[in-house]
Amino acid sequence: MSVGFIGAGQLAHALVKGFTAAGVIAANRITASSPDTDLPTVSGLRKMGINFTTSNKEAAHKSDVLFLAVKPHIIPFVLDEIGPDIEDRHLIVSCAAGVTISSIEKKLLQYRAAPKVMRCMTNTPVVVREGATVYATGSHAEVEDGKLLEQLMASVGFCTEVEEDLIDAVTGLSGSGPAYAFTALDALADGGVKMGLPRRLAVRLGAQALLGAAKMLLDSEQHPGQLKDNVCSPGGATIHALHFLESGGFRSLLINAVEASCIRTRELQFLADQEKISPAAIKKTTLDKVLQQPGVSSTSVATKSRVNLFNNRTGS
Amino acid sequence: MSVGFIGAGQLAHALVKGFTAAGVIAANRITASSPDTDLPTVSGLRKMGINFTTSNKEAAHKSDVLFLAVKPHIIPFVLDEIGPDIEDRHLIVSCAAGVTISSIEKKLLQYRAAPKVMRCMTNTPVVVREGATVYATGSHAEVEEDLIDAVTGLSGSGPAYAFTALDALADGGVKMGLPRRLAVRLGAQALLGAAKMLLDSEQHPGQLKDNVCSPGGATIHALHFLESGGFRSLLINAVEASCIRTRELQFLADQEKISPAAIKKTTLDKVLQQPGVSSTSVATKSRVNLFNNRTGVKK
Repeated sequence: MSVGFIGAGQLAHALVKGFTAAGVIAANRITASSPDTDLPTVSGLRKMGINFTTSNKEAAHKSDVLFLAVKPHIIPFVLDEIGPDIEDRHLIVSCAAGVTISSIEKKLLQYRAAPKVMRCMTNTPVVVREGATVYATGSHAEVEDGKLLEQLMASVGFCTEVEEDLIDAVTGLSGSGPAYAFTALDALADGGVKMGLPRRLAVRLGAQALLGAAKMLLDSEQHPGQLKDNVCSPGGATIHALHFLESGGFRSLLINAVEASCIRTRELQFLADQEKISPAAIKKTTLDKVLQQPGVSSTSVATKSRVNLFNNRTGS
Repeated sequence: MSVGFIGAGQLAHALVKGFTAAGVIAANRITASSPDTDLPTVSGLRKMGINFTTSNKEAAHKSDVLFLAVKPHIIPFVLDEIGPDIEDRHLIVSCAAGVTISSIEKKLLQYRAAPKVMRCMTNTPVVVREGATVYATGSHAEVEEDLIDAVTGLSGSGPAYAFTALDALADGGVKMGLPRRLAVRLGAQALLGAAKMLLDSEQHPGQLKDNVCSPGGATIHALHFLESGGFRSLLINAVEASCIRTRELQFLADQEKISPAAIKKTTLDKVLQQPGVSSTSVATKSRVNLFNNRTGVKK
């Protein structure tokens, strides 16, 4: 089995690093493509021994499972480009926030009768094999395809199937979640430094404390509130600290964050479904690089001044 | 080597669970003691196959490394009780927040010329072998002892901040439509993964945060809410408050006065019923003096 990535940015890099560390697939059976070789992640990908190419069509040819790891507004361009190259064997897995399975199927149905499409939402800790991934299955994908994806993603963390309409909420929680954690860790380290700890030790202790607590919760049947109670001895240091968190509405800020990320994801999906994207959304130099790739013609990639996404196109 | 715990509460339970899971010591070489057998953790400890006793003196007799895993205000009572039972082989490790090595040494010096005392600050995730522990000794330190209060504020109390955050994150997920169980799972996995990325990386947490924030995307929108609400500041406040309270507790203890109201009479009675414990060896006067030179105790 071969795996391909359209896109060679943070997500592709994290997944490749995780998969190769897990040994679930050999580096030489992985291909990643991007017309832009200046991305900082490209050299990292090369060093891992995968096949890197500037041709998205080549990545499609060389893979059975094809991850779409580009930003949401790039998806339609990519689908137009590789549409003719999709075969029966291909399993297309989109990782793009807010891009629905049906929008992808609609595009690919111009090229193939029953395109196998799945959608997943993962997160960057796949890079250390502690990711959180959910996926939904399109109408033409089989149960075995779901199991194959689950096997791949379970090698780099937690993975479960969900109804597609929950994916935006998952984006808000575990998709964006690591950023909330990094912000918290920066602040916790600042707190430690304020009280006299050297920075390195403060960062280490804060991260270890969060990691250990999260692991306790995952391994426990108990409610997080019960676990919190167990750490708060009467009149002790911890309950004094917690009062500050509660006074400042700490919990509410986190609920706000999950909500905001989820809402923004739905907004992006709505904008995409509007099926209009301004040519300002893609760099002309990037588009030019794509057009230089073998097999790509200007009719197969959206180049008109008002570009329509996800509609029926002629000339394919 | 045998390990003993004075105290059979959350901390003893967590450490015993971690040690036995790690295989670093066999359960039958561990003893834990508490005069109070009603603690919920006592049955857990028994089930792990360790030796449980109501006699602190017995725990001291049966151990080489002796953890003091009781609340800070109980430490002086315990030291009075087991002081005569400490031998040269004993390594006393105090886990009590805010209790200094010198205060413990001062007490034990009434019984022994050179008591070996260490102090550590750990946290409950030792139960899943992901704890954060620092220790200090009298002579050389893994950290300087005066940093231990700050460590208490950060990684000692840290898990409680995390559990609060995880409860809230799950609420957020449930608000946006996720079933509770999945929301708890995803939130915990996201925090665990992020913490692991930071531990495994040379990069600054701010850089790792940047890497997750695609332009105009969902994550940066969410972060704005955190920043607007002073999220970072709340966490700094928490670390500071826990550290300050720890220092307060230490100051109160160093004052060397504790009201008899601080210990239950029933607990004190249970201790007095233990073999070898007399009322002169345990503080029973109506105003109890801690950490002072006591008369009437022979080495």
